[in-house]
Amino acid sequence: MPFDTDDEAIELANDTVYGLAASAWTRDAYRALRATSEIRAGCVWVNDHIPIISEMPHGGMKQSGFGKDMSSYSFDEYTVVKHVMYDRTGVAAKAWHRTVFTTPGAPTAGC
Amino acid sequence: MSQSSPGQSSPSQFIGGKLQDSPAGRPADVLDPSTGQVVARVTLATTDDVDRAVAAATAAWPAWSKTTPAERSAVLARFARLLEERAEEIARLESRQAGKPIRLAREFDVPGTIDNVDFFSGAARNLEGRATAEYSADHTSSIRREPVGVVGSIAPWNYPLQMAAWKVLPAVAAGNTIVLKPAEITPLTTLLFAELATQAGLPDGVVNVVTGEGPTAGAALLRHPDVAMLSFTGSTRVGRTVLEAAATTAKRVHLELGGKAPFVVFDDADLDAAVHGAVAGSLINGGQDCTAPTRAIVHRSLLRDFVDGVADLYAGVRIGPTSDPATDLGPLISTAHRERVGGMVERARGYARVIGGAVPGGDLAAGSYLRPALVTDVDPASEIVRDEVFGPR
Repeated sequence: MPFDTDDEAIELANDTVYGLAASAWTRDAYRALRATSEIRAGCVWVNDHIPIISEMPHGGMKQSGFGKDMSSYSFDEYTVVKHVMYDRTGVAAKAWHRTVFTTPGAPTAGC
Repeated sequence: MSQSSPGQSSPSQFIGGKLQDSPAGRPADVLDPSTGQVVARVTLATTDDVDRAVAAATAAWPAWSKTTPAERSAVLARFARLLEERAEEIARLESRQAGKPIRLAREFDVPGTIDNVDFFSGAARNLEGRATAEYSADHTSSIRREPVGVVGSIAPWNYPLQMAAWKVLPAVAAGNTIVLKPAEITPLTTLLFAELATQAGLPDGVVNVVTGEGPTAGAALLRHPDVAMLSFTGSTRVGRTVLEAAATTAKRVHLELGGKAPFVVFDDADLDAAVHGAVAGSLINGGQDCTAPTRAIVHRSLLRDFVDGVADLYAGVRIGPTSDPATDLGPLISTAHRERVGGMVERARGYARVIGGAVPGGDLAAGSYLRPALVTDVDPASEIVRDEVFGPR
């Protein structure tokens, strides 16, 4: 498909429901910068197309799906992050309990 | 893996560390797409087999999820060396079941897989949370990064071995257990992969493989209540059904779906590099690659030379037997898939200019071969531009 302006090229590149991969072929650094930032795909190659490496993530945007294969980013898919919170005061009646215990005789500070 | 004699099925389920038959499964043939000959006869998993595999993965989870990163790393390091020792055998099996030129299997599929195993062996020891600290004056907070549980994965037929690696490695490196369903037409290297992982020291039940069809075994796996996460690589259409299945018990989902990669050639590009890149990218694995460049978007001043250059290189590509190291382009995965790709190319002849795309005869007639097709003068709204083709063009 032909294009005349860079705007048109980017528009055609993004004219798809998919967003897995793309490539831009140019020797102009500014065009490469623009294409890599504006094309909506999980990978944008410059002056190449296809190579994948274990250290880098593979996965799409839009209707190409979500989540990453390979790379340490894949661990974001295959792990859950858990918050563990320890009280470090040893106090029975916490300061924030005032929002609940309004009556006299409620527990007071101290072990 | 031993290959079966005609009529006799080879065990095609890997459950709880053992290669086994499906007791009630229907037999099916794994065909070599380059010849149409039977590579192995398998039995397809029933929903009972899926239940047994999920039960094995569930039973293996408590112990595996408590292993240290160093223990998981050591297993994967041994696994990588085992794969290296068996590399040639694996390459040949992958080439035969998936119709890949042997050069591609030897130089891309197998080494890429081994590198992945080595990467995850190292990465297993680098799973960190944020530092423990006092974010409130009265508390100490820390982050634990924990495995999700039993992962149910479905992998496609285009890169069977690499897809098995992509599904299994991050899952087990992080302490999950997995039930993987390869495509029923290309299960052989996935079964071998699981066997070798177990030989390397992966405990029984950590990796299980069910060879079966999507609507039965796949659907049972996707909806199984004990499966905590679904990982699917394949078409966007099936990806939607995975999302629906995930809703049953709020499963985590990871989807790697279709693509229609643009290939943008600006007027200052190195034309020769772009032409070679377009041909190599669109023909690797017979075009059956979700990242394949399928929409060449070329500055008007270069378009004619680009089309001529691609057509020239397409015409010189050596299409031939997959066992021949000189072969550049093998068959498509099946005759059914060739009909589908061929149909899209034939319809394109009605609205665009198509160069090539014929079905070769002679020695190649028994395989599901299709010559590369270059489609030009297309409307951006046409089928060949909009839809994923998964074939050489």
